[in-house]
Amino acid sequence: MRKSFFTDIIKENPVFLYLLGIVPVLGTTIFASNALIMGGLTFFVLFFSNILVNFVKEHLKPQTELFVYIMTTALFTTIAEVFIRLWSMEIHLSLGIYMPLIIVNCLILSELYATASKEGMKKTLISSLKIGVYFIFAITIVGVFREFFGNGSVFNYIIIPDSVPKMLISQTPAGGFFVLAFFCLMANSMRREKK
Amino acid sequence: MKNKQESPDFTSSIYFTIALFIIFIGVLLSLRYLLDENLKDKEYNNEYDIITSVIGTEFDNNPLEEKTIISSVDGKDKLELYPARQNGLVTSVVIKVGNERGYGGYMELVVGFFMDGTISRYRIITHNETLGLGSRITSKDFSEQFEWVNPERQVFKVAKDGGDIDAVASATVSSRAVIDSIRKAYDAYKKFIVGE
Amino acid sequence: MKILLSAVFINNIVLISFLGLEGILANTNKSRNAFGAIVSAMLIILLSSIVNYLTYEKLLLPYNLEILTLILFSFNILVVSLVVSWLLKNTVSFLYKEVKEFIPAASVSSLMLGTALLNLKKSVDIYNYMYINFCNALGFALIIVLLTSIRSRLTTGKLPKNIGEATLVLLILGLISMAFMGFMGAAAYL
Repeated sequence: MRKSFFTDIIKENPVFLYLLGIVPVLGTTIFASNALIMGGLTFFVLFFSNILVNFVKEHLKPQTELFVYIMTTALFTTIAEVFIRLWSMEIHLSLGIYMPLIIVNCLILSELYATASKEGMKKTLISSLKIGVYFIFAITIVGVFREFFGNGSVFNYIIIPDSVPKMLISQTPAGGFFVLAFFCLMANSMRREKK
Repeated sequence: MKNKQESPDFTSSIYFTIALFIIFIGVLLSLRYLLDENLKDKEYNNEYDIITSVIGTEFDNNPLEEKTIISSVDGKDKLELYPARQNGLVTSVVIKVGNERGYGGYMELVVGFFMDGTISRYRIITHNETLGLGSRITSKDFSEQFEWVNPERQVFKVAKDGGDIDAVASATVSSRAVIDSIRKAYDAYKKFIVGE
Repeated sequence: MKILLSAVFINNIVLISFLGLEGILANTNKSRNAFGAIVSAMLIILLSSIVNYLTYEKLLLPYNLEILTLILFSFNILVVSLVVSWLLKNTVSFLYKEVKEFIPAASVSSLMLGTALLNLKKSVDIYNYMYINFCNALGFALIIVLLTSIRSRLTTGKLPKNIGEATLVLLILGLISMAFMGFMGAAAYL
C-alpha cells in the first residue's frame, strides 16, 4: 500500500499524464520555495471550492455550471491573494501573474467538473485531497530540479558552490519545458512497464 | 429514479447563479472593509522600507511624506523624488524611475543619490525580465558595481559598449536598461538641482 | 509595429509566460482543432479586452474596488464568450459550426485572464490595450500553428514507444522556446 502511493504519485499524476494545470508548474518553479508556496495556494483553492461546489451541486445546470465554478475559484483566489499580500509583499511579487491564474487552473476545474458536482461529500473530500497532494508534489519536484541545476541550491540552501558553473538553461523557460518533459517521460515509462 | 435526480429548471438555476455572484461580491467587499487599514499599512511600510534601504546617509525625517514630482530631461516622464534630511538639511535624495527599455518591457527602480550625484545604492522594485537570465540584474554582484559611482566621472556604460560596468552574463539588454534608468534619474536630479 | 514584433517573437506569451498552455494537447493534434482554438481565442480576446478595460477604468479604479478585479474580469470573459457564440450563431453560421466546441474551453483559458491582467499596467488607453492583447493572441496563434504542423509531420515517423504525446509536446515546445531565444538580441534595436 505504502509503496504503491509513492509510485502512483508519479504514475497517476494528472500533471504529468494530461498536462493539466501546467501553467504554474512551468511559471513559478525557478525556485523550489516559490513552487511549494504556489502548490499550497492551489491546494487551498482546490479544497475549499470543491466543498462549496459540492454544497450547491443541486442547483447546477450545464449552462450555468461554468459560471459557478469560475466564480467560486475567483472568490477563494482573491481571499488567498489578500492574505499573501498581508503576509509578505515579496512573495506576492515573486508569484506575480500566476497567483490570479489559479482561477483558471485546469486541474481545479476538471476536479470540480468531474467529482464535486457529481459525487457525494466524502468522495469529493478524498479526491480533492489526493489531487491537491499530487499537484504539490509535481510542482515541488520540478522546482527542486530546476533550482538545483540552475542555481546549485535546494530551498535556498546552497549545495554546489558558486565557483562551479551551472546549467543556466534550466532556469530559462526552455529548461522548464525540458524538466517537465523528463517527468512526463518517467510517468509514461512507468505506466508502460506495469502492463 | 430519473425524476428524483432531475435538477431544477433553467431559470431558477440562473437566478441561483446571480444570487451566488452577489453573495460572493458581498463577501469580498466585507473582506476589503475589514482588511483595508492593515493592507494600507503593510503597503506603506513596504514602500518605506524600499525607499529607506537605498539612502546612504543618516536621516531623521520621513522621506515618504516629502515626496515631490520632478520631470525628466526630455519632459516626457514624471519621476518621484524623496529627500532625506538630517536636522532639516537635505543629506541625500531617492528617485523612483520607470523605464520601458528592458528586455521584458517595463521596469521600475529606486536610486539613492548623495548631494553631489554619487550613487549610494539602487534597488529594483518591479521588472518583467526573463526569469533566470534577465532577472539576475537583481543579484548582488551586479548591483554592487554601482555603489559609490558617479555617473559623470566614469564611463557609465556596459563593458560591451565601451564602459566600465560588467553586464550580467547573457543579459546585456537588461543590464543596459538598468544603466539607462539610473542615467535618467541622475539627469533629472541634476536638472532639478540647477533649476532650484 | 514595435509592440507587434515584441509580442509575437521576443516576448511570446506562450513561451515566456506560459499562458494558454491548457488545451495544448487537444488543440494541436488536428489542424481543424487548431483553427477553432485560434479563432475563438482571438474573438474573445478582442471583445473582452474592451469590456475589461472599461470595467477597470470606470468602475474599479474610481471607487477603489480593486479587490473585485479578479472575480469581475473572469465573469466578464465568460459573459463575452456567451455573446461571441450567440453572435456567431446568428451571423456567420458556417464559422460557428467550426468553432462552437472551442469557445467554452477558450473562455477558461489562462490566456484571456493572463493577458487582461498583465497588460493593464503597460497600456495607456483602450486602443493601446486592445492592440497589445491582440498581439499577444497572434503570438499564441503562431505557436499553435507551429506546434500543429510539427506534430502532424511527426505522426508519419517512428518514435520510441515510451514517449507519449505529453512528452513530445513539451520537448517540441522546449526546442521552439530555445529557437525563439535567438530573437532576444533584436529587442535592443526595436
